[in-house]
Amino acid sequence: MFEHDKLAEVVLESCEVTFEEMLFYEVLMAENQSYSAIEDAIVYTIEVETPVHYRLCLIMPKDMVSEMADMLYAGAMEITDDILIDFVAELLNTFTGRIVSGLFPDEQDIFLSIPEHHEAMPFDLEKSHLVVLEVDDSKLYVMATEEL
Amino acid sequence: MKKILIVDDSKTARMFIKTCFNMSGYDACTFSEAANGQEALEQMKGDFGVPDLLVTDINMPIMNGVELLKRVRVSPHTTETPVLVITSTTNKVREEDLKALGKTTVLMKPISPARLVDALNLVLDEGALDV
Repeated sequence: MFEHDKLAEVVLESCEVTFEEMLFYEVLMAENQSYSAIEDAIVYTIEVETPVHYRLCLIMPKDMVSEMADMLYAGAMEITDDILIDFVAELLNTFTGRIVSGLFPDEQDIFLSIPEHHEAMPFDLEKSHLVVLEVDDSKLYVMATEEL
Repeated sequence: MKKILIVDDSKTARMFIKTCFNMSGYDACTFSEAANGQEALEQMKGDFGVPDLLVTDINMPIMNGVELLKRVRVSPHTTETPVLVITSTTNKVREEDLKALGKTTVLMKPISPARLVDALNLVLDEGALDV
C-alpha cells in the first residue's frame, strides 16, 4: 500500500513541523534505519480509520520525552509519568494528522482513533514500515502497518 | 475578566494552547480547561459560565468537538460564542461544515502564536478579548 520512500519523506516532514513548532527541536532522518529496542521507552499507537485503514506507532526514549516535557511545561506542574505518556500521545496525534494529509492530500474524509499506550512495541517488524529519526543524537521510531 | 475555555483530552495540548495564548498577549484572560465536550458543557452551565471564546479539539472521547459545537449552537446562551477548533485532522469539506455553524474557525495542529493570532482575527469581533 505505501511506497516506503514517500512514507519516510512525509513522516519526516510531519515530525519536523510538529517538533519544531511545539518544542523548537530539530528532527533529522537517521543514517542507520534499523530498529534497536530502547530500554526505557514510551510506546503509543494510533489507528487511521479513513481514508485507508492502518496503524502508526511512535516509540520515544523516556529521557528524551522527559527533557521535552520539562521545556514545554516550564515548571507549571510536576512532570509525572502520566504527563510523559500524555505528551507522547499528543505528539503522535498531531503529526499523524499531517502524515495522512501528506499521503492523501485530496482526501476529504480523515478519521483517527484515540491514541493507545503500550508497554512494548506491538508491531511485527517484518510487516511494518520503519522510519528512524534523530533528535539531539537520540533515536525515535515511527512505524506504519496495515496489520490491525 | 474575559474567559477562555480550552477543551482537549490531552493535558499537553491544553498546556500548549494556553502557552500560545499567553505568548500572544492574552495572559490576562481567565482560562478554564475541560477534557471532553461533556465536561465543557458542565463548566458552561456551572461556575465558569459562558466563555468569551471556546477553543476545542475534535477527536475526543465521551463527547467529541463536533457534537459539542452543535450543542453550543442550539443553546440561546452560547449560539453567538466564538469557537476556535484546533485539530490534528482537517480538510476543506469539514472546515466548511464547521464554519457553517457560525462564528467558528479551524486551525490545524500544531499551532503557533502567530497562527493563533491570525485565527482569532477571523473569529473574534475587534476587542472581544480585551481586558
